[in-house]
Amino acid sequence: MKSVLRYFFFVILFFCRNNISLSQNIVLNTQQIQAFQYLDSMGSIKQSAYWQHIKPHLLLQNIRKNITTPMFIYPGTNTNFCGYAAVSYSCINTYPLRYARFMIELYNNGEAHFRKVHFNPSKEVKQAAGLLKFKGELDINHADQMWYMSLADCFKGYVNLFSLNYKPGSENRLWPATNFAKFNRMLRRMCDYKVSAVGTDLFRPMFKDITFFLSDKLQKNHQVFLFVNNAIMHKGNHNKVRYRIPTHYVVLLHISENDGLINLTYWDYGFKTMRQMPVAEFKDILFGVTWCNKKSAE
Amino acid sequence: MRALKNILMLIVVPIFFIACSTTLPKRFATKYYKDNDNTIMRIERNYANLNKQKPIVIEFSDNAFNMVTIEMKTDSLRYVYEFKLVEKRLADTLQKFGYDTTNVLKLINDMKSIKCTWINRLDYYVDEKVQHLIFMSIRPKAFDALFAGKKYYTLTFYNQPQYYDGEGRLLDKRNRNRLRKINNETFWRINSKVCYTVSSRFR
Repeated sequence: MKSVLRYFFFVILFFCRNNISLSQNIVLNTQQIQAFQYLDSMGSIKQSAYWQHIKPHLLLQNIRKNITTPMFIYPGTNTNFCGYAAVSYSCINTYPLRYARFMIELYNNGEAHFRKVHFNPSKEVKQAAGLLKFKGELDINHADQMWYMSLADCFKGYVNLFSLNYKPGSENRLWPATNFAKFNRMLRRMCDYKVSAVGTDLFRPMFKDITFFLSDKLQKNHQVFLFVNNAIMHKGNHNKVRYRIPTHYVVLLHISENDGLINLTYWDYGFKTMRQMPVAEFKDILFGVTWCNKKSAE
Repeated sequence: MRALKNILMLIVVPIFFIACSTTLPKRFATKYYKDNDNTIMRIERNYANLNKQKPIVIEFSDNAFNMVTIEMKTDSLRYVYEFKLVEKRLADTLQKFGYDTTNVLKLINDMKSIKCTWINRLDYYVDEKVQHLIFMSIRPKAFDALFAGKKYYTLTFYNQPQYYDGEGRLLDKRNRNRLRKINNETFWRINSKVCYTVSSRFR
């Protein structure tokens, strides 16, 4: 019986993979086309006086890539930008034109509004953006460097109290760290979603049936974000004692349960991942769930 | 007098252990590479070939080296599975995803033999052009010392010779004094294309 189930699982995987490869032919929606038209109308842009290390050609190339395929937005290796990346994944998908306008305005004028949020990053941030290195693709993604650092400079939570100002290397430390309340606030203000959430920074929420709860949210066309303990999800050492704190945000795409195992498909680090884990382990790593109604592009 | 002796012991003994634990990894690193040169190079070559065919990341997820986690990357989805080494479904899964099963299993066994916990390919950029390196973490038994904070010996393999300063630290470029840090760690020369660091994390 088990081998039949296994065979069935692989057949499903095979078809899933085929469907994904078919969906590689990207079809742009109206908003994305308008965003491209806007960028085309700009022609080439001059080197900004505010962002001295952001190269215009890398900025434009990165904005175009983010608009076409928000799935590949990458927060860089060993940074604390995962919360901003999760917000961006949803935000750029929903508001590509607003994003393109905002980025160009921020680059040219050194300050800009995204909805009601006013961004005027500090001198230190403007000086450092474009200089982040050894962070994988983020090295050449100058728009992402500008975007993440501006978000980190603008939104603050209690975890940032001891590191309010940017210093070189702060991107790997507490300066951009994102607690659960700050994450939800960012989503509300940047995306104008109606945001609901359960969970905290320290204690895990209780669910009767976690799989049903999450799959129900997905079925109701909600965008679902999970706040998880990364020390288990992306293990970095073999220490027996692990910090029981959440540090990572992922976007949930699909969840199902089979024989006590959870099949989880989520987005993080610029890629979709499908991972199997026991239900108990999943409950152990989950500290928060945020869901919001997906909006169609403006 | 006796009380003074006890107090001195309480201070000296911990200092001795802490000093041993911090000097051990660096002393150990260069010797370890020489002793296991052949296996390390075989793992690196085998992994480079396999990864060229299809991207794969291998991790030993337990202390006893009996559980292996494999990341298999397709065009748009990364699959992460954890197996016991003895499980038949490890080979079945590799085959289903189109990997060279024999060589992947050989690689896993080689990794286990030298306590290699993680192997991956990393991208980095020089003058806006992407370059690749192979990143390998090893956890030798000697690192299990009671007070050893840093437990992994990390090797990076480059395709081209790299630049180093007078102390043997890996540099970003020839004419700059900026150190190339990977995962915030400074790397040290083993030879022109291979460097090492000692880290508390394997990835």
